[in-house]
Amino acid sequence: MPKNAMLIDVSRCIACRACQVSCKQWNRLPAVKSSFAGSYENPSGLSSATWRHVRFKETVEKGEVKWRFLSFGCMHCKDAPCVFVCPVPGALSRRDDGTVYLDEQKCTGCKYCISACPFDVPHYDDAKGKVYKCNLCADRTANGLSTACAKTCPSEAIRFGDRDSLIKDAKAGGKKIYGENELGGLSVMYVLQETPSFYGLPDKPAMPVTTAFWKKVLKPLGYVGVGATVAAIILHYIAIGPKRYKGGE
Amino acid sequence: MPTIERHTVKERGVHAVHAISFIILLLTGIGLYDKGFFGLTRLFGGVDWSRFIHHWIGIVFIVFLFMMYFQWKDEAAVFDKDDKEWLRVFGGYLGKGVKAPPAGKFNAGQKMFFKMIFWAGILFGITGIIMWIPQTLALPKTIVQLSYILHDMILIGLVMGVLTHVYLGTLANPGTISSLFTGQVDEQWARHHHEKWYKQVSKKGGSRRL
Repeated sequence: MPKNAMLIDVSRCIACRACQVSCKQWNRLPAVKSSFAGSYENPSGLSSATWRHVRFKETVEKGEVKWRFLSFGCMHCKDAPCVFVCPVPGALSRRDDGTVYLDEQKCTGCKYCISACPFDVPHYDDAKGKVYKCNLCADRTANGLSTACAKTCPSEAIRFGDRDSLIKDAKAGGKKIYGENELGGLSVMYVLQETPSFYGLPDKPAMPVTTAFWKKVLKPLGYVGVGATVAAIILHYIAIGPKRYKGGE
Repeated sequence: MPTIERHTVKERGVHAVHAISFIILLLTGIGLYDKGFFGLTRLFGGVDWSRFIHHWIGIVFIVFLFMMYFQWKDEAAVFDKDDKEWLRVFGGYLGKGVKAPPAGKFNAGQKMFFKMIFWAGILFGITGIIMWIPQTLALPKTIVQLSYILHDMILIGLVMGVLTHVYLGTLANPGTISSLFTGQVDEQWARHHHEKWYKQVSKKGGSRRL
C-alpha cells in the first residue's frame, strides 16, 4: 500500500501560518488565547486545540536578524511510541497508509502517550478529558484529498503525497531528509537548513529509555514475579504443608 | 473450644475496607497495565469508569492505610530479639517441625509485611497522583515516566506480597482466617502462633483484648 506522507522543506516556508489556520478550520479547533512573548510566533506551541504550529527561530547573525521557521505537528512515526504505550485497544493506532490515528471516542485520557512521545506532540484537554493531536487529515486522505495544511501552503513548503516519491524527489534535488529512517520512518519528514536541534527537534528521535524499560522489561518481569510467587506457594503447600496447631503436630 | 478476641470490630473493619479497596484498585488498574486485561475494564462500565473509580478508591486506600497504620503500629511497628530470630529461621516455614521463636500480637513476618504495605502504599499514592494530574503539577516528563515505572514496580511487589499474605492467612495456617470475620481465634491457636500475645491477653482476663 502506498504511504501517505508530508515533506516539509523549511527553506520554502514564509511563516504565513496558513497551515496553522487551515488545520484549525478543517478540524474545527477553537482559537487559543495567547500573549506576546517577544516573538512573532503565535501561539507559543502545540496544544490540544492547535495541531499544527509554526515555530519561529529568531537569531541575530552578523548584526542581522535571521528568521527560520518550522511548521510542526505530529510526525506519524512508523514505530510510534505513543501507539506502543496506549493501553486502550484502537485509541491510538498506526494505519497502513502511514497515519498515526488518535480516536477521540476511544481515548480515555490516561496521558501515557504524552510521556512517550519524543516530539512532545500529544496534548491533554482538561475540559474534555482526552488527548488530541494531528491525525494527518485522515478524513480527507481517505477520500483522496491532501492534508489541509499541505493544500493551503502557498509556497509549497509542505508537500503531501506518496512517501516514496516524495523521498525520491528530495534526493534527486540533493537534499538531506530528516525522518526517512528515524523510528522506522516518519510520515512527516523535513528538509532542514540547520541541525535538527536548532529547530527543537531531537537529533536522534527514539522511544524514551524509561518508556522502553517500563513496558518492555518491567511488564514481563511482573508476570515472572507473580508466577514465581504462585509456584512457590503451591510448592510450599505440597512439600511443607500447613502449620497445624492441634492434633498432628 | 475456648476462643479469644484477636481483632476488634474496628480493626476488622479497617482491614476489610483496605483489602477491598486494594482489590478494586487492582481490577480497575490492570486493565491499563496490559491490553490482555483490558476486558476487565468492562466490569466497571468501561475504561473511563474504571479510571474514575481507580482514582477515587485510591484515596480511600490511602486513608485506610493510615488508619491501619495507627491502629496496629504499637504492635506491628516494633521489633525485638525474638523477631530477629524469627526472621532468621523464616518463621519455621521452610521446613517441617522447625520451631519459630514466640511472637507477640504479630509475628516478624507480619511486621515486615506491615512495613512494606505502609511504604508501598505511600509511594503508590504519590506516583498515582503524578500519573493522574501530571499537567496540573507541571512536572518534567522524566518524573512522570519514572512514576509509571515505580507505580508498576510497587504493583508487582504488592501482588506478590498479598498473594503470600493471603496464603499464610488461609491454607498455610488453619484457624487464622476467623480473626478477620468474627474476630475470634481458638485459644490453642493463639498459644501456638502468638505465644507472647496470648500470655498478655490471658493475664488480663482471658477473652478481652489487651
